[in-house]
Amino acid sequence: MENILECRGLIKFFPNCLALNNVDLTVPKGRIVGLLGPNGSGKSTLIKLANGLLTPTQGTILVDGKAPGIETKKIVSYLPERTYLTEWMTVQDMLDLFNDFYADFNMEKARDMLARLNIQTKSRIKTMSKGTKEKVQLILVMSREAQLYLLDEPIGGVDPAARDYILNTIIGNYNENATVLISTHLISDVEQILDDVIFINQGSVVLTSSVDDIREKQDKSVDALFREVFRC
Amino acid sequence: MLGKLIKYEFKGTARLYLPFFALLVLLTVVNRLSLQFGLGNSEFLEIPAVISMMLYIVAVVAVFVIAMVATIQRFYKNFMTDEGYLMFTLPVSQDGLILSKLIVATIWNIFSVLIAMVSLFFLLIDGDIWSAMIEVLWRLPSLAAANGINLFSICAVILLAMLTSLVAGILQIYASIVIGCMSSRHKLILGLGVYLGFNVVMQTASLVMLPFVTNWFTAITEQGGSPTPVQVADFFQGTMLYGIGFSLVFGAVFYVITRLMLKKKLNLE
Repeated sequence: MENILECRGLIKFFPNCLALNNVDLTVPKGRIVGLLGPNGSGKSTLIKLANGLLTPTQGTILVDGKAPGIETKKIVSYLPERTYLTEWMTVQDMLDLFNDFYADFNMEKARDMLARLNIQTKSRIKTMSKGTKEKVQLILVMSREAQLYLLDEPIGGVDPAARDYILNTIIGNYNENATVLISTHLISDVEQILDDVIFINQGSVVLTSSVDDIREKQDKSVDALFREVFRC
Repeated sequence: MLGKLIKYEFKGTARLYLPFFALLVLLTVVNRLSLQFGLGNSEFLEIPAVISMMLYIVAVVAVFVIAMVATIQRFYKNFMTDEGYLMFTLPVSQDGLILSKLIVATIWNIFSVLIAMVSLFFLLIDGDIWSAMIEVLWRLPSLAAANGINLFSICAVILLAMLTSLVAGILQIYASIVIGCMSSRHKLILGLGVYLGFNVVMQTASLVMLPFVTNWFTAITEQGGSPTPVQVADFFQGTMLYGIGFSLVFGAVFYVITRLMLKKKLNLE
């Protein structure tokens, strides 16, 4: 199985809204892929479908050749666009929870990263700022040795310095066979780490390309191309 | 994995229940001492004694209210809000998620009843009541045996009926929550409406069943004379078994609804 993520004729209807319209997509193993599109283009919907948080209206979505389920959840590490940390728990409680449920969780790595950001494992989630919560969540997600990382807006709510740290964390913490799918509209920030891009608009994939191709053939940055494709 | 889920569910719920249990235990002890030493009769301590008794009653009620609130809140918050993003991406089955909640909620609900009973017992017990109870418990088995009644099976049926109706009741709450959450704006109203709707359906179903029970009873009384203890015991057990069947059927329906909705219609915002 060469492709870690595969969509065939994927359609997702919400009441009064077509979120994904006949998406055909393959994401090969071992790439860092940007899922780029304006707000409301269907990025989060696609990622939620891959996590089994939504069910397709029509078509299929396969993770490592399997429909989302227990087996795919074992190999997918998901960062939602909101904080799902349990407010009354401490960081240590969350570490234990991840360690208990995910066989691929690397406790040492997580402790290391927390220490480097001066986050105490004893502190309660409730007492943390929004940015700190996002960092804790990212550390939890990146401390898994997963096959597919689905990161939904990982840099949306943090300051530029933390952004660099997060991006370094992402590239520094995945193995070569793993795939990272990053959804964002902050393209210039992530551009330097991407191998491939998928442009998505109003529920349809409008372009898939490698970043090298965009740079060489079109002589443009991804950011510039994005602004061109999605001109308002 | 179910074991781990149950462990975390206990961890998540203990912090809701234990403070109330601790409060009830404390107030039980205080009121027991107050009754023991007749503090209510003294001029200075009358008001504190009355207040502590009122607080005790409030605490007993609170233990039952918190059982209800925690049952709803844990399911709703853990599954239907942001925390659901974590719960539903854990590599566990839908059944595991529901069962862990159900098992833990059932245990806490039973424990709430037990602790309230023990507390009341401890508060009111004195030498006379104690000896009367011992006597009843002592004589009951021989009395039952003399009349040909199987006491063990009656007790088992009563406990089973209570357990199944508790479980079905919790599942009714879960099913109402998952359906209520289909509405993006009026979750509470829809959930409450669904819950009441389920009640109407269940009451209608029990009305349909009622003639069977009454017919049976008439059949017994029409035989002439007063019914024998064995007939009464059989009738009682029979109706309890009806109740158990009823709870099992509705519990299963609520479970299937909950599972189906979480699987197919999960719609976290």
